[in-house]
Amino acid sequence: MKRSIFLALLASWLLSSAVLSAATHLGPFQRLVVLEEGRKKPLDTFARNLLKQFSGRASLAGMSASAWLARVFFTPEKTFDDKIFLVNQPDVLAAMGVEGEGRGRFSFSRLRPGLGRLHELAFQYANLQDSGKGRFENETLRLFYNVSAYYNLLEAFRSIQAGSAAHPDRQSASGLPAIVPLGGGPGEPWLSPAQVLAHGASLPATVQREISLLAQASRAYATGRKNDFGQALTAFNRSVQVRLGPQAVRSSKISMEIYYNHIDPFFKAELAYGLALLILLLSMALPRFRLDRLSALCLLGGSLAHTFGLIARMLIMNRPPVTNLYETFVFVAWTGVVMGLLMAWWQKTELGILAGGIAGIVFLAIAGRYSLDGDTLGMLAAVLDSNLWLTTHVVTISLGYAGCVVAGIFGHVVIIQKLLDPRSTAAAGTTRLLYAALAFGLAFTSIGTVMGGIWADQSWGRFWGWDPKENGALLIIIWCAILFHARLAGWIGQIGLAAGSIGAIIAVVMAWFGVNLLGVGLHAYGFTTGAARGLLAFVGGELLFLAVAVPLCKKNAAESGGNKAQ
Amino acid sequence: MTENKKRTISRLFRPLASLKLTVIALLLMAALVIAGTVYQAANGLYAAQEKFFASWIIWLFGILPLPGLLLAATLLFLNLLAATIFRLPYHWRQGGLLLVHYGLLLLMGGGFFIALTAQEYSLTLREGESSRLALRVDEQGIQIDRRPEKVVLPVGIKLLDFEKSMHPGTGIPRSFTSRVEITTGRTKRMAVISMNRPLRYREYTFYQSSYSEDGMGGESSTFSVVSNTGRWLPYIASAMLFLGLAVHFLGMLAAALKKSRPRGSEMP
Repeated sequence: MKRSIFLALLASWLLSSAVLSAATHLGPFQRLVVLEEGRKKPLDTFARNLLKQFSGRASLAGMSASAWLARVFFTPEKTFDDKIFLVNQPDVLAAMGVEGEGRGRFSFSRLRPGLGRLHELAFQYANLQDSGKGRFENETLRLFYNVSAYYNLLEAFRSIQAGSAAHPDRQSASGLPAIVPLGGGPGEPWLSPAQVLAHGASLPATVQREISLLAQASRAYATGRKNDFGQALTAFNRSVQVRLGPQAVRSSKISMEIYYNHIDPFFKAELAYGLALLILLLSMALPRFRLDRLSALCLLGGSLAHTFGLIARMLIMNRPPVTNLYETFVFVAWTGVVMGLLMAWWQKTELGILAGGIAGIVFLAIAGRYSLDGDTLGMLAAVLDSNLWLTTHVVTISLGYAGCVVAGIFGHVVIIQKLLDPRSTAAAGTTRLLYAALAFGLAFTSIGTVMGGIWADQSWGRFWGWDPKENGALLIIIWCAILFHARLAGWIGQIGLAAGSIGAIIAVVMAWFGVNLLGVGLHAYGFTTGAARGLLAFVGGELLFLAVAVPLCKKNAAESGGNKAQ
Repeated sequence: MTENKKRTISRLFRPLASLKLTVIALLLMAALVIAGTVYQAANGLYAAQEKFFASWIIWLFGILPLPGLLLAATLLFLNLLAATIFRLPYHWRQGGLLLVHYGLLLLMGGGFFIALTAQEYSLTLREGESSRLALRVDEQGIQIDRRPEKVVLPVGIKLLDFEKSMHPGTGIPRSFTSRVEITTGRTKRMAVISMNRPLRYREYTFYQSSYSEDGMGGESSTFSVVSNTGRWLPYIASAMLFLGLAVHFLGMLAAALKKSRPRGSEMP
């Protein structure tokens, strides 16, 4: 009874959106449809991606990204003091001649005196080869692009608000939201309001009426008439919707995406997983209070939000759960959590919660970092679109990755258990879980790889092409096969298997995004240098752990005379 | 065959079935896959294939011979073959695992067969052009030499129209489609070849490979043509793998559910 009440509370927190703004004046603003990178999306998503790109966060001091963007559009001067520009390196500020210490967020007015210097620097760095750019150069360019984008945003509605023709410099400004479809057809361009004004009298009457609605809305916002603002935008949305027809923009999908944005399910799931791990630690320290159940419930609650996020994305885009690198992180995290929950439930062990919580929190955190790069719901290139084999192949491989990762987490546990107590019987139980997870990983990676081969055969006429991603998957398969056969041959024992499963994690991360570092092949879909450094640090750390812990374990085992513990 | 002879054969071949040999062959393959992938980043796929993936022996610094992937794979294949004869536990309870190993055997054997027999050609047509002649290319679609071998296909193919479409407002391609007319013997028919949708005729398969525009509105489309009589082998092998894994894991799951352990016994 107590449990179900707790679960209900947790679920309602996870699925409630902090800003239920459909009823407020901002609702119609969020629902403006933008065409960006080939996808029609709500302005809310546009605003969130922009604010994340600027500041690394999806909201600003409790204000939603949409509320912030409305202020930028309609009352630009009021946003000069918003601290929205994340600067990761204080050196950039020093080079601009702006005072500031450490990594932080700075306002436009704070950066303003240094913008001339920033422009000069960016002008020099823009022509450098990628290999010639270091951290400092990249950070300078990033800040410059963000400030430039902000400049453009400031002008997005200015001419419309004033009722004058667009400023000639700003007519072709990129990065402005294309919210006005010029014609109705699928091939017709969508323009930003300033671009539409530049077209002048040649516009159809309906488009002209829509522009005047935008102008009304803009003036209403600036003078604080929130109701008029909402009504004008509602009328605009309706007019565009009628012009495009119901097939072009599904209003239900727009609503779904806004709801998804506001719930921010993956962030909440991450919090819940963190809470689960924290409670688990407490329960180990205070076994009397039986906190393990509570911890399992937190994990379960997080997984509900996580599942909701996955399903919402599938519904919004009408596609399977894994289609890009971002989604592999989210999906592998989800699989790890579900595996952990199943183990906790079936085997009655907290180790399931531990592995699930770690896999969930780590991969969602990586996904969160990755999402700063832009829209995570991008369109797919021709070669990746609509193929049953491809989609099942990617999903299956991701399941395999998750299996290996969970096995590797148990690998750490086994080694720690052996370090603490060389005769530990608990380690044998953990090894059983490790074995199951590794077998799961091997099976699904194999199936997924073979499915990828079938897809390649059907699309390109070859089953196997030695592409780095294929090689990565093959390496995981070979590595897991080595572990199973070496165990059978008696070459490795519990500790060897544990160490090997940590090797399997390394193989997985190398196959997963290590091959993207090589920058060759069909699967090399974009990667950042920061991630590369993190990856190398992780691999180095794991190798160090193995180099220190494994000999210690063996020494302990030899001293305690446990010859089986090899 | 006498009992004695049998024993001699068994003594000769049994070591080939050894588990330790499996591990060694697999370790060798893992090392070669890593080396070849890293080498590929610097020197390209073609060179990596020549040196690592399709080679029997790698000459390190020109003097030190190391096994190539072909050699390692052959070793593993023979090891697996010997294991299926001498070592694998023939018991119905191990049926899934047996099937997996037989599937692997077929997958590797099929791979060898296809590598020996399959041919790949390239065929480029302008809109309105028709041809039966395709150029021989290597596995990466690169022409083998300056005067490549030509082959007369059993079908005539005429490019009627090529179309490409992009996601609106971007340079991300959405689809490439070639409308063709194929002539086989005396009959003609229309067909469509597009990304992920090849055209098959007997052992030949036509894939949309690339396209080009001449800047004056004229378009040409390039197909890769693959002739592969062993095409179905990996499919059978894959089916055996799937089925074997499914049987094995369902069996394991059933066993695990049957003896669910008492609660709390496994805590550290």
